[in-house]
Amino acid sequence: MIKINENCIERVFDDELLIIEAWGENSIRVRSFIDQKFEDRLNALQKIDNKNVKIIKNEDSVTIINGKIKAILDHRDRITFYNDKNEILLKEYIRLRAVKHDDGSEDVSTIEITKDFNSTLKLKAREYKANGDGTSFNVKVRFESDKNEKIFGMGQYQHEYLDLKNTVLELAQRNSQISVPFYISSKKYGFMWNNPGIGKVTFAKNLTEWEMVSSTYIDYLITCHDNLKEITKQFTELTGRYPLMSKKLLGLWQSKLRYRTQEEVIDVVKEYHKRGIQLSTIAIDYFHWPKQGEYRFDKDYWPDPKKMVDILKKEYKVEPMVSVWPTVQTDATNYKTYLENGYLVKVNKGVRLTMQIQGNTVYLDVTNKEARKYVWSLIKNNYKDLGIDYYWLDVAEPGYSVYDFDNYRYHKGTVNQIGNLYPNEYLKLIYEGTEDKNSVVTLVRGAWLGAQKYGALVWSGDIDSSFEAFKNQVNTGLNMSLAGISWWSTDIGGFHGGNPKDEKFRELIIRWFQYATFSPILRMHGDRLPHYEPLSNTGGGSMPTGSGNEIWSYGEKVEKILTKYIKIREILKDYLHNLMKETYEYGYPIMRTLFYEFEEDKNSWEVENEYMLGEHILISPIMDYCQREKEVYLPTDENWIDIYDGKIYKGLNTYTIKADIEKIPVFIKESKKEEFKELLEYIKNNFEGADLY
Amino acid sequence: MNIEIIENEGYIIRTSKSILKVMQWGKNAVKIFASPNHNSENIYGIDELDRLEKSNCKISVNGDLVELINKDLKVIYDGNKLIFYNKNKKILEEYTRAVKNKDYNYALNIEAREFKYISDNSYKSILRFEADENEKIYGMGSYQEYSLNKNFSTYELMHRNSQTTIPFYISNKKYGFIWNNASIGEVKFSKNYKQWESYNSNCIEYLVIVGENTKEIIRDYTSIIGRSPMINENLLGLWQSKLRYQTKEELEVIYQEYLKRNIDLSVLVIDYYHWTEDGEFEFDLTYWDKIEELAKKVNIMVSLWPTVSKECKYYNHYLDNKMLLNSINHKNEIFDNKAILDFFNPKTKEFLNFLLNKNYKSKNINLFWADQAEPEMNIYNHKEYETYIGNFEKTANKFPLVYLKSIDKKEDYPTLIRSAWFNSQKYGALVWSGDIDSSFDSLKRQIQCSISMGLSGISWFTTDIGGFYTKDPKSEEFKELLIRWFQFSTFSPILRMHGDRMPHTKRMSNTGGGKRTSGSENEIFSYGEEVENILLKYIRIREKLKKYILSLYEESSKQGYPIIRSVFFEYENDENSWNEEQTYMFGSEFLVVPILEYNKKEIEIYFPKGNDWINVFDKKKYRGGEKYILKTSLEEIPVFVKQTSYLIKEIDSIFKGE
Repeated sequence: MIKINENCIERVFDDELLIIEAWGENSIRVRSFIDQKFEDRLNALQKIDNKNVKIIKNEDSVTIINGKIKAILDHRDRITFYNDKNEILLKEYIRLRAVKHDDGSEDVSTIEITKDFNSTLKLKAREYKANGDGTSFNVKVRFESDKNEKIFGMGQYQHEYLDLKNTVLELAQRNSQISVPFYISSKKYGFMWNNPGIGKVTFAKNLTEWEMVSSTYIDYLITCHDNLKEITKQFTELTGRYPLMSKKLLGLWQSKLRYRTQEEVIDVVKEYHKRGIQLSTIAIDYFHWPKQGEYRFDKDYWPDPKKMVDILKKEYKVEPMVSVWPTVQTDATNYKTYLENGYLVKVNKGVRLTMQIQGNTVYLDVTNKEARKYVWSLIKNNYKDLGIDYYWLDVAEPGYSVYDFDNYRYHKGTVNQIGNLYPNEYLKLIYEGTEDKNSVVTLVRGAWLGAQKYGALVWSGDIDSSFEAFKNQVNTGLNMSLAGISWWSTDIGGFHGGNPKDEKFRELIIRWFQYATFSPILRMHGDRLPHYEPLSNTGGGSMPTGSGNEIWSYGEKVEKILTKYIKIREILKDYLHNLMKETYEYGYPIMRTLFYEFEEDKNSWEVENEYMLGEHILISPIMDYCQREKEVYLPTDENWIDIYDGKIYKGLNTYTIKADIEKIPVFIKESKKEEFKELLEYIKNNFEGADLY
Repeated sequence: MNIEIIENEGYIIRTSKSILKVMQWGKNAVKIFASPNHNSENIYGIDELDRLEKSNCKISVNGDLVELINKDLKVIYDGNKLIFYNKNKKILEEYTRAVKNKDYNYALNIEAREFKYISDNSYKSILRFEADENEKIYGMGSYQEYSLNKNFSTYELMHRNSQTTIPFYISNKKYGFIWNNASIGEVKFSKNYKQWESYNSNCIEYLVIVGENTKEIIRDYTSIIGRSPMINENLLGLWQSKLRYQTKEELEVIYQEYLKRNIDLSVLVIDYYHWTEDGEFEFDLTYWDKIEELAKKVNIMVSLWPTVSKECKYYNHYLDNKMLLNSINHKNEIFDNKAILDFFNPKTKEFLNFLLNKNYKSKNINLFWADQAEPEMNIYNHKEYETYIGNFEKTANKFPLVYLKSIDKKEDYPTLIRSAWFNSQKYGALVWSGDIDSSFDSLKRQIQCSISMGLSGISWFTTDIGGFYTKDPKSEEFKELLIRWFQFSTFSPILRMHGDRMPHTKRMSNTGGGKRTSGSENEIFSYGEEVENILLKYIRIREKLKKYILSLYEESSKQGYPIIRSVFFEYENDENSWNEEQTYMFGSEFLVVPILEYNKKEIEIYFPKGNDWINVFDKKKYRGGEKYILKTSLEEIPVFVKQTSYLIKEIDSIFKGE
């Protein structure tokens, strides 16, 4: 039975309620509910009023038109989406007998034959398979695959691919893997999978398939426009936009695993100050606390944090940032409070344990508002009131020791059903507590759709310290940006290991730092080798620390180069801040794929590991050891200036560009030369062609 | 490392989590077994998995590395994953993102071999390999799609009506891969990793076979899993079938009509519902009395269905002896409101053959058509059924094989069957592609299916000429489709007319053999004179090709070679031949380019490099390694013979008529 409402088509049949609804500009939301049980859930979406929606009932189909997008529900119960040029964007996949309501019956004489393509595979576009007793379902949505389509976005996966067509992606959060299920297609539409359940998506050559292992509904949104920036606007209009990042945060962020005492922190800041470098932030990593779950400084090592904060903020204008972990130790002084109130993650089977680090720990259940409030009360008291405004939400997936997603339950639902929400709910802990919502910048290891509205500055997690790992970051960062997460960062040099005395690692630090200079946030962090013995056996002393990770820890030559890039970053601050404004106002990425800026230039769709920082600066990072030149494609009919020698190159061509160790290929549009006068001047005076290595 | 080396055979590594066995499987082949249970064997693997000729196998341990060398195949275990080499070139590498060592750190915690506990000795088992964007992957059975190259695609490991899964592939990197597990599952050959998954099993087991070239790999693969027997040469002419001849008299007329045209039918087929009741396996004599008389004159094939209705007189007998797939939810009506025989139970075979002897063989009928062999289910929910040997989810993909083996037949006779499994070829499975659409799109898919099945070890493969579901058999488009399909089938293992043509007749009665309706006529003379004349021409060509076709069957039986062969199978060194997805070699001598579009006026053809080519109809010559655009005519399918062919002198007499 089909019902037509003002903004939507509703179809009920047997075990399904299907709603095809105009939802925002040029966008259509599709929801399906098993057993016709409607539940009004927004997930990552915001409520929107729609006007001028057209719904037309034809003889054997219904059409809904919302601006540039159109969906047709045909006589085979299949939805096809079109743009305003009547080109198919996406079409549900069915392989059924060409009869009305294929019930598997073999008696050809009794069924009504239609004129469609016949298939006996019995594959439906929307499929529910009951798990166990039928309270949850394995849910699949299938679309026809278009071999020539390109797919971008979807969050952060540790592989080298920019174009995600032909990949399979787990829809689950892991340390260094972030599921943000929104993609932008080369066919000029955006697709958002609005279900935070665990599952996977297969963008195969023969089939596109979304799967949730345990759910009761389908919810996705498709938004279209012939301009990619408009798609971003439409998408972020519906899912939220970033606050405006303060300009003071656009300099260098200093971090390592881990500064152990307040003296260490202040010493590092002093060292930078001595060098004339204005740090933006300095990070105080984990185990500054006595026990996990107590959310306070261990007084043995941090005797007067208030004083430290004052010195940092007032004397040095450096913002302290503290690490927050969701782990609660079973021997924390307030463990009972967590238990009594049900603030912890529940375990279905086996020992109550979610991670082993310095004893047994259980994760905080951030999906419980009361739990968030409680922890915020500790944070407020022990950090915020000291003047600490920035937090670093670590382990935000949360990173289970074993990712048995079916083994955990949250307040909001089972992990299988809502697990991917965890990072967003965790972010809310800070966001809800903070009064000035527009000032929130939270460093976080994880995100889901809409994390941007909570000021999520996402970093790529605990990755290897190698050129190989570096190669996995650049493209994936661009995909994060297209999925709406414009504030994105990586540990310069990678996280796991790296000996500052090692020549190869030093080169990696330089190449990564150069890249990070032209990224949203310039941030040093890592676990450098060798490790030092812990200061003590208890509390804030018990965790070892890695070797030095400051710009001077890598020898004079490295420091000299990094210092130049810190200066470049300084000069670009206004430009960067303008990009932050665009993000705030329209949701645009800061790092943009070439095709995002130059969609008319067909070649630009093929270019990977190269990007635009905003509209005017093109960067092509060097990602191989000892690499001293690179093939760089310069897009569009435009002249480009090599910032190092001022040479002008014509666009729409590929050039071999020299890249001495000092240099990362960077180009600006010749037409914007005036805007970058200071930068070009600085480079002219400070860069020589010499190769240091 | 807890390693046990078995001299010249392989080694076993035991950890707290699992057992891993790496064993040679004859020269150039290795079998890998992994299970969470140290005391475990592959229960639902391939029954007849023969070893290749014995070879010397060297195993050496060096710190954390274990190296096994078996002729050209080298396997390295690096303490975590296995890496495979053919002549020192890496061909396959397990995928792991869980290592924390001095080389590389991953925080993702993804293992190459993963077991998710379901219940006692039952796991969801996942196996991952690194992907290779440039790899080409072929085989995997018969899936309804256009792509011959399976890389970047995803497949259910499950039979459905018109989908046969044979989880074997051959790679252009010169290796073959067998996923040795009958469980329902899936494989994703994605750009970022390859992932095999069985939804319910006690282990992971796979084989890797390397070789010099495709032919060698296929030979070795088929000596492991089996080859087709030799076929009776009288079966290489036309098979006449439709849904459905309703009476003996009707069939007699058809027989006579063909005789009149001087066509000696190879087989005449009696479709379903000739029986008294589903599960009784006997003619309804109201309609089929004296069928044995016709069966003396022509080979008759009868349809068997595994379905059993409640009204079947043996229903309780089947039930009491556990001869039906048994629903754990007490609803045995798997398909079309009927239960399905459990061929895993040896008693089922015994009883079935008792009935076949009594009701068919005694009437000179010795050819059987095992329909509905996947089996098709109203809802594919295998885990809700128990078979004689275990949960259906664990065993399902073997079903068509045990069904096939339950039908006793003559050595050189095939059993026509809808779907197959490893070993099916040994038992004379002639697989057809199932109930498919009647359209050019569908024909295009069947070409791919035919080539892929050949590369999966199933040489005996056929499709319904004209497709199965036909809405408008009188339309010009359908007539052309029928011609194109018939032309293609002439150059295929079996030439077989079948289909369900609209409109349907009325029922003859409401009981037994009268209750199912029939489709419209589907003989070569049902579509007008023009069509008939063209089809007649191809029937003659087929007749004259018999000796050649028989030689292909022989190659298939001796070497395991396909009859319909991918172009690269014959022209391995021609890079372009690996991209040819819709043309094929009919044996080693003919290049066949089926016409797959309505009203096609011309076609671009790539001629493989290595020899020149002669058009069999007009004798025009084409240079190998080049592309030409050729005009097409409705009468002719572009077919070319190798200029160097031993048949070159006979071409005129084969293709030009008397």
